[in-house]
Amino acid sequence: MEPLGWWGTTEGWARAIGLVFAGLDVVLILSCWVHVKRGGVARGFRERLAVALGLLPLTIVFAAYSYALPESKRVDACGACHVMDPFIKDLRDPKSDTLAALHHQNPASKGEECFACHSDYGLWGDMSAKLHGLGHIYHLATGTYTLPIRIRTPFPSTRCLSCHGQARRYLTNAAHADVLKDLAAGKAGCLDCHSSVHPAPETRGPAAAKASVVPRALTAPEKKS
Amino acid sequence: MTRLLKVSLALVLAGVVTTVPVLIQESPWTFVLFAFVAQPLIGLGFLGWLASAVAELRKTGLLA
Repeated sequence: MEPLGWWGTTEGWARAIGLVFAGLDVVLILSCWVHVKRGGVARGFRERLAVALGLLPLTIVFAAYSYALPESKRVDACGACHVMDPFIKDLRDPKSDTLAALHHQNPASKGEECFACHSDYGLWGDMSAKLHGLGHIYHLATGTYTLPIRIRTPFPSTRCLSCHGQARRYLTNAAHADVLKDLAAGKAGCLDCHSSVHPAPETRGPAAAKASVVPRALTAPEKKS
Repeated sequence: MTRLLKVSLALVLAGVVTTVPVLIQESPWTFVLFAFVAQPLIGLGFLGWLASAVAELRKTGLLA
């Protein structure tokens, strides 16, 4: 829920501008087509061409990226593929105590928890995550995946520490005292102790992926009586 | 030149139309459609328009 009085988000504006410009461009292109077909060059035709084939399409592509790239980081985008349903269902389950659910329901990254934990820091981290995402789409489209879905490589603790590494609760926790250096050096992993990250693999097999229905209503805040 | 211009108009029109789904509802599929179909169509149409403009300038002697 956004606070009342907001005039939309940057993504929302980019989306609206992209749609309006797309409609405008279609009309302009069709009018240019009619002129070209008639063979006559009307006054201002070249300028209209420059807008229809140059300025507006470039603006539309920019607007589409401005809207779609941030949106593609959201949990809903990751949950668009049905094989992710058991993960998304757990993420939104108020009774779940997995790390993923705790991060999503608190919320740690404003609805971008999948991307926040499954991408590395820096420009290349984002790009690498997106390239892997394209790979996931390819595997889904071609059916070249196996259930239950598992992470391809061991989860690096640097991703946890990029947020938690400087947190007072993490640094002053007595249980961490002996392993702080090892964790920072990658010799010990956060998941060695905090192992309940997602639902257990046996609960996210083929049957779970097909039968799972994501309860979106659970994301709404509970009313206090 | 007219033919090249017509092809450019058709390519950009197709590119813009295939961009609309990602603006209506972002999903992995609409994003792939935009990135790998719409963008190349718009890019090719844009290059076609540039080529036709250069050809016209050469024809009128404004460009050597």
